[in-house]
Amino acid sequence: MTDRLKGTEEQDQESDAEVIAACLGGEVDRYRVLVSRYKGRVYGMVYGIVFDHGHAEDIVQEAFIRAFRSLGGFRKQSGFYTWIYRIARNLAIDSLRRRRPEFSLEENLEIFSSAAGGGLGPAGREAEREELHEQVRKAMTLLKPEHREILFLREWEGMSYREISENMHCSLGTVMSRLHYARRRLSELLERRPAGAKGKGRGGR
Amino acid sequence: MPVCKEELIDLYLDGELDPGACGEVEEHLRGCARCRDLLAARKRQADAYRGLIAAAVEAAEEDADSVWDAVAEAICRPRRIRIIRLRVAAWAGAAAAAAAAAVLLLHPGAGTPPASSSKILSLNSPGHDITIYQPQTGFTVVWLQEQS
Repeated sequence: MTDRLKGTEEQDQESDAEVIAACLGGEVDRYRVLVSRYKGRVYGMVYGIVFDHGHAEDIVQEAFIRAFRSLGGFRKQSGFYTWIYRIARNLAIDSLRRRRPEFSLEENLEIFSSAAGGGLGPAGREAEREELHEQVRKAMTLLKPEHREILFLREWEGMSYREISENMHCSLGTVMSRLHYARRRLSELLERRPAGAKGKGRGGR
Repeated sequence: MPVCKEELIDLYLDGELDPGACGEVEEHLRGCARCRDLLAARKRQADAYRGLIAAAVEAAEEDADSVWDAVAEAICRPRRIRIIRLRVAAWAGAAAAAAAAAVLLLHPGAGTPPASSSKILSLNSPGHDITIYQPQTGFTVVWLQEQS
């Protein structure tokens, strides 16, 4: 387990354990504490893999339900967040394998070209920001699950390469190449360049 | 870093280079507009990505009960309820058959056997214990208890 995933759970470890003990003792309503405490972080991770709000909500609910039904087998030393993270992450990855892509690359060329403008004034910045988010969201749906996950771990969780390698059970070299490929692919999609083209011009936007 | 290398820009951006390599990249960046643009673009891209995830997390945090309501509905309802039809008359005789049967669904560890009754049948099914009690008077009780 990485330091990053331990995160807040170290300070909450005892209270998490108390809540779990209460749940196992029949106080089912106490589980609400754990749901409230971790649903935001879990949702962020799941959304960072599936990039669909309705789909993410279903997965988060299912993850908490499965975790509750397995509370008796929970190993305290791993921390509840690490545990629920694993359950939700596996559900999200599995769901991607069962779903068809939201867009094809050909459709994306059209989608991104319609949003290529610039030079908006202050009044348009909020709309521009939302449009950029939507472009990134659509581009992310075209990445493979492992590329979505590594971007989440690096850009959102802020993990070091060593932490990512432990989390994804791969070598440091794989982390470097996978992260680089994921970023380049995202840039290519956002720039409307064909996959595999080497970087001319600007990589962002 | 004598030539442009995107991989090194990523390592630099992520703080994964040792001080010597870091200095080389910074030296290269001072003289290479293309790599400076690439670094700036990577930062913009990461900012946009984080903004997208942050908005999702914020929405989830603000929606206080949506996840809990669905979770509570699932974990509070009894699992694996099955409708089991038993021919009480075959087990308990004519007198018991004349009486209505009460079926109890019980959580693990709940309840005690009916008072002043005798156990006339006990079955095990996956996930449940089924016991039929015949009281001296009143209802025959079919006790369906979820296993802990």
